[in-house]
Amino acid sequence: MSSTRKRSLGLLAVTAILVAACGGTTATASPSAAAPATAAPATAAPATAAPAVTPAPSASAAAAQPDITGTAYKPIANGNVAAAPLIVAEWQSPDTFNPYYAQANVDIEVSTPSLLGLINTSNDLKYFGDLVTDVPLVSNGGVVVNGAGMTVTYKLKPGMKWSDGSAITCKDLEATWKWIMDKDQTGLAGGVIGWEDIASIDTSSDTNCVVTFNKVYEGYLGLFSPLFPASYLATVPVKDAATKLYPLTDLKSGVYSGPYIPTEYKADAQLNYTANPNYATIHPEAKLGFPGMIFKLYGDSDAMKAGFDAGEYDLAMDLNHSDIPSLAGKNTLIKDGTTYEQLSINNKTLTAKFGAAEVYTIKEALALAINKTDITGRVLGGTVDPISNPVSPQYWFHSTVPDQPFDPAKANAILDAAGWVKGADGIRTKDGKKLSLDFCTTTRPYRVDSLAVFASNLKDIGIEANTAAPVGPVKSTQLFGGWDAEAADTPCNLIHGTYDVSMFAWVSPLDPLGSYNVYHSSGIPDAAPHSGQNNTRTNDPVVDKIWDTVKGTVDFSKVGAAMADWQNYYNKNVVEIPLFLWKDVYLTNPKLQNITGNPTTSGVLWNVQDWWLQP
Amino acid sequence: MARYIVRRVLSAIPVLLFISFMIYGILLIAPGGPEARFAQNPKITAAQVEAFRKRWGLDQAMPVQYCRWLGVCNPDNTGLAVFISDNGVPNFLPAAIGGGDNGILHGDLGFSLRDGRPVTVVIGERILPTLILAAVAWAIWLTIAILAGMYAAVHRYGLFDSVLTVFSYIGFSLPTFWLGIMLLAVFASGLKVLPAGGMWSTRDVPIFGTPDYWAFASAQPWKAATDLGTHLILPVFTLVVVSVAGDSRFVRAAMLDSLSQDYVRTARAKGVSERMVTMKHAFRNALLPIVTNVGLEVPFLFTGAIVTETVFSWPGMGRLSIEATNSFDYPVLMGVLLIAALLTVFANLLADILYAVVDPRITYG
Repeated sequence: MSSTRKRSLGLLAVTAILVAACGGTTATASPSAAAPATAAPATAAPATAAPAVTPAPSASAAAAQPDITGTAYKPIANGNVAAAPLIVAEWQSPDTFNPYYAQANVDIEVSTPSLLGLINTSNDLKYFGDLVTDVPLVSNGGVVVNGAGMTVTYKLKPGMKWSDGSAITCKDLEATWKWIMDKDQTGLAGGVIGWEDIASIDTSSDTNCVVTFNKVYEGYLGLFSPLFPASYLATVPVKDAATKLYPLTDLKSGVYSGPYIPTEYKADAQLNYTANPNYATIHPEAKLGFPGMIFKLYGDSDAMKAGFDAGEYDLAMDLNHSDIPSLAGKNTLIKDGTTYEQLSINNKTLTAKFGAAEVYTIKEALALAINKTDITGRVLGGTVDPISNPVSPQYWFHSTVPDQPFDPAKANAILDAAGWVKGADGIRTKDGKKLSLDFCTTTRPYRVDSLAVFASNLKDIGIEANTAAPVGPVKSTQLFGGWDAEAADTPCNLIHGTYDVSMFAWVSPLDPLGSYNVYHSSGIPDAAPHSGQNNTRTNDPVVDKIWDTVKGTVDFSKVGAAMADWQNYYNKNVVEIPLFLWKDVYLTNPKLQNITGNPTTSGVLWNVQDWWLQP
Repeated sequence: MARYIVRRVLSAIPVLLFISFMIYGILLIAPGGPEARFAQNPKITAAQVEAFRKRWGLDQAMPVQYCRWLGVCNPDNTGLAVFISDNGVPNFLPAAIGGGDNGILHGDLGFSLRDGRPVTVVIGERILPTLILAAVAWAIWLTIAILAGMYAAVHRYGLFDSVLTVFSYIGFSLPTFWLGIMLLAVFASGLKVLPAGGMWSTRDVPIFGTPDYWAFASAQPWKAATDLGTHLILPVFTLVVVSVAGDSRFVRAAMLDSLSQDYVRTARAKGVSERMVTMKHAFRNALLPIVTNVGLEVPFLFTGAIVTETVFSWPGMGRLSIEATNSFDYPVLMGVLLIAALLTVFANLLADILYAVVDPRITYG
């Protein structure tokens, strides 16, 4: 299989920010597994009173290794080489060409055609070697666990060359690692997670690169994405790398590995690429369909859509389900994404308001009373479908869980049984406490509309959804603002936990470890360094045990089993209320071949080397 | 006159200093900051954020940052030594005699926090596109506004005056972004007769401003001109519609005021033709307020139209401003705003000088 783009698992978190930056604030970055694990803070909310679900010895635990590498992707053989470049459109502009500094999706998109990683992800979410012959796994001997540590052997394809003609060798792995870990390094979007666990890289061979880790690190598949050339790294001091390594002002000075390499950039207007003369040394089977490519950068998405009608480009990116109604009559490619919209429920505030014993009852009632089809059907016009599991069905560790039914009668019965009594105003009270919840979200129109739906749904079961200022719709900077950026008492701030229920989007990462910090108690952000993203303040030893299993193994059968336990727990205990998966939407030239989409950070350009235009 | 100009220029210096200090302060006290981009990224540690702040000097107090930006302080020194250059002389002195080389006093506007490029480069590449768009639009709307305003004043309460009044209200009321999107929907999406955005045809024309572009323009000047002209139509039309409304009302008011003066009545009593009365007596005197208004529009030629440039993907100063604002790119914002302040001050000076040209009664002794 020919491939290209590497998309770094390590950059998954970045994707969030970008989605937020892009569509105007929507998805939040999925946190990294690696955030420093801190001890559960003393202030953490007590474990919820939900029925404990002890992960039963999963039947799948003893099962065979899951297939995470066998992609079914088969490109249609190139039948034409166009005379003109491929033109792709974006409505945001890049700030950097270096994906390690990427803070927005477009930063990753522009580097995708030019910089390859060791391992990439296909459209059917299988790992494959971009610069290596095989994906190293325990099962094929590529990964060997030695006590607390492990060694990973990345076997580079022989004869590969960088765009400047120099050989791609294990020294490039070593240089990339040292560059990441340099003391002068600042602003790495993916931090040093995983990299800091590397003890050494054996460069005695040009192609058999043995990387020794101090710890077992499940995310090793996402490292070296992309790989940088040692010779080029040596030309720029690390302290100047943010501005002088792959500088937008002089992209020709860079050294690349992908099929198309950048030649010229005009800020907020255009980015030109030409074919990489040495790409055939990496993927000899690939036959490029274009002499080059161009990123055409529009000022906003409306102009970009109009440009499609005017025939100005071949592919438009960075659109989602909310754009679908405005794309009628246009040639579109619509794929399920991995960003999910959810209702995050804050255990800390619910416990403070109603007592720990009431939390699970309220959460269960909420899940039963929220009519998701009101959101997906009425608010979003049927462009998306309701879900009960935030893990994308495309992921290898996805597990089928029971649907969360819309059953207000049962919700009423549960609250009745728990002693919540409806008052004259229809709102329930118990022990003098009114069952009123503060709902928060951003100001995106469909979210504002959704608040009204929630209020209506909950009123039917005697719960008041408070959406009036200072809660309700707030600026995304307020909702997503960091620990230092927002005061502790700022209403509707996720990281400070000043909300009861909040609607927003989150990226579900392909690397399970990417969610460690969202649900493990060490990720509760109340404790310094406040970098955790366990906004719901989920604090349950059962949950911690599941996630520690995920973190502590490179045996993907065990990871899969643990993730099945997690999805079961998530569903039964209403950790969140997942609403729907976003759609990835593209406008495409009908003659463009082999465009498949890709919901990971590899993005739609993951196989751009296989694209060609029918004459 | 020369003394007057020198005096005005000298008096502008403290004004610009004060403006720059105020702008800098307002930018820095605004919520958020360049490091806000890291807020939702758990992989970036507090130490990394601090290193980022230190690298860009954001860890310093506002007066120190301003002092460095100004070029009075040396960013490599601390304490009282900040005022001393690496060569041991006051940092504000020219580099040629041993002073510093940082800050606007030395022609250095710093580096963009967004992409690391020098601010002079970032701004420099945007000025020509904005100048082209703004100058074409300005020339058209000014011509229309003067002619329409004069005609409406001379034919007060006539059909044309009524139509112009209605048009003015509509023009005032139209949100620029809405008008722009509607024009795109009709002429780019619907009729497909005009481009949806940008400054050149991506498929056929090299990137504007590059050597390849100038070679192309030299080899095929007609094609280059028509391509540029085609891309100018919609944004220029948008700017003209929303701007001619205000200026035409201004001209009309100035002309009406002038036409009611005694010297106009006297001219008519003397039998001067109506055309001469209008052009020589009334319009000449109406020019004073018009010159003032036009002078205030000069900075627009360089600072651009934020909404119009964004909607039509025009790679100019307006779009740069909004991008820099969104990313808290202080150096670029300071550069743009300083240029705007500078142009405003000097456009006013130019207007004052033009008073003497259009009105012989005015002299600057």
